[in-house]
Amino acid sequence: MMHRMVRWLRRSATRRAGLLRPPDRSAARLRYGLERALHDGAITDISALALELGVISASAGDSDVAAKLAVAQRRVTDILDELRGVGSWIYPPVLASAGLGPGLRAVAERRGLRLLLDLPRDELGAEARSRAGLLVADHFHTLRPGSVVRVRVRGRRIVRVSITDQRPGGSARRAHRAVLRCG
Amino acid sequence: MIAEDGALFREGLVLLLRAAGHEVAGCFADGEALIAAVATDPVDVAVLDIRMPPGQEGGLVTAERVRALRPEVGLLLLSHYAETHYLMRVLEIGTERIGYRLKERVAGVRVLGDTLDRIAGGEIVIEPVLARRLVHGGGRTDGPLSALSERETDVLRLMAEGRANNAIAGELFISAKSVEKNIAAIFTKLGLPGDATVHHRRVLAVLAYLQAQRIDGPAGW
Repeated sequence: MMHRMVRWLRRSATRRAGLLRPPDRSAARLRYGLERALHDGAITDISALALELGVISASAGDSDVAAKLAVAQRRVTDILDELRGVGSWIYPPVLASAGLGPGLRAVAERRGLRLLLDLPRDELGAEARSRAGLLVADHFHTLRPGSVVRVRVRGRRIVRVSITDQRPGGSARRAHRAVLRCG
Repeated sequence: MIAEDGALFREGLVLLLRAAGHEVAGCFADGEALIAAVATDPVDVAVLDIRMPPGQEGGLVTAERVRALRPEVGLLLLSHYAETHYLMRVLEIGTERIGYRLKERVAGVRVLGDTLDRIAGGEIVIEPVLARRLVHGGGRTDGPLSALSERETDVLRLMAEGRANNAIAGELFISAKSVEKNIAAIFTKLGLPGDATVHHRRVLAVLAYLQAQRIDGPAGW
């Protein structure tokens, strides 16, 4: 009787869980391409500009000019910080290069989240990794810093993702889930 | 020596290094060429882009091979992103004569010179942006970090950057003795293991602690 009750409670809790809509394959590819274009284009060129300003500053004899160049360099650094932030939102860079676990940990760290990850032992295929990673990363961006979040991922071709989160200082937990058909 | 696949950044780095009074022994667009050059011409420090060929993180792979081939060569890894994942990979390669910085944050003669001098001197150099995020991020008010005083938090951040006691003292305008006292208090309050006087071990202990605070918590979930 007790077991049946627990099963019923679990099933009804799952039914209440919010359904998240994962990005499709073409959206994931587009986002990856956009992040690469931003990194290889604007971010790389502006970083080179920062170096150029550093070289000019080193040869500037006038302290006023050097001070103005230092201000310009700080502005360039701020612009790069903003572009990096945009790039990470579009497609977390570590997700592409290192996989689902490191990618999600990187986003959680940037967002100031406390994360508990429960991932399959073997790394997912490229498409599943990319789509599941973006789904979870996008959800992280909706959470307040200091939130606690648990992510569980299972399956390979049919990937099931469940996310439970709790606001800082709160006691209520919210559950979300998604199913992705990959490959 | 430099390995960087972006031509503009590579050329800018050469000019800046020369302006800082350094000699550039070689300049390459990928890691393989740098490894071949280091094998025949060992240098003080090799500067590598993390995201360059071969592969997505070719700079890290190249750094690993350079460290195995020539352990005496210092390594400075540059990236457009300050990420704990990259930091952990860098620490796996080595904890001495090594550094990880954001590209645009070394775009000045003084900061670049300081970074290279510290690496050549055997230190570990960690991007301050990342150290700050690890110390101040997370928004937690209940953890042991919140028990640290403002001064201790500043000292912890500078330790996470890999700074030695004298450098911390200089940065905070306090005595080296005061730095030692603060470090002892930090290790006690955070319950950190290890010897706080051995530089690279204490950096590792601090970073491991800060990373554990940010992720994979709490119990009961």
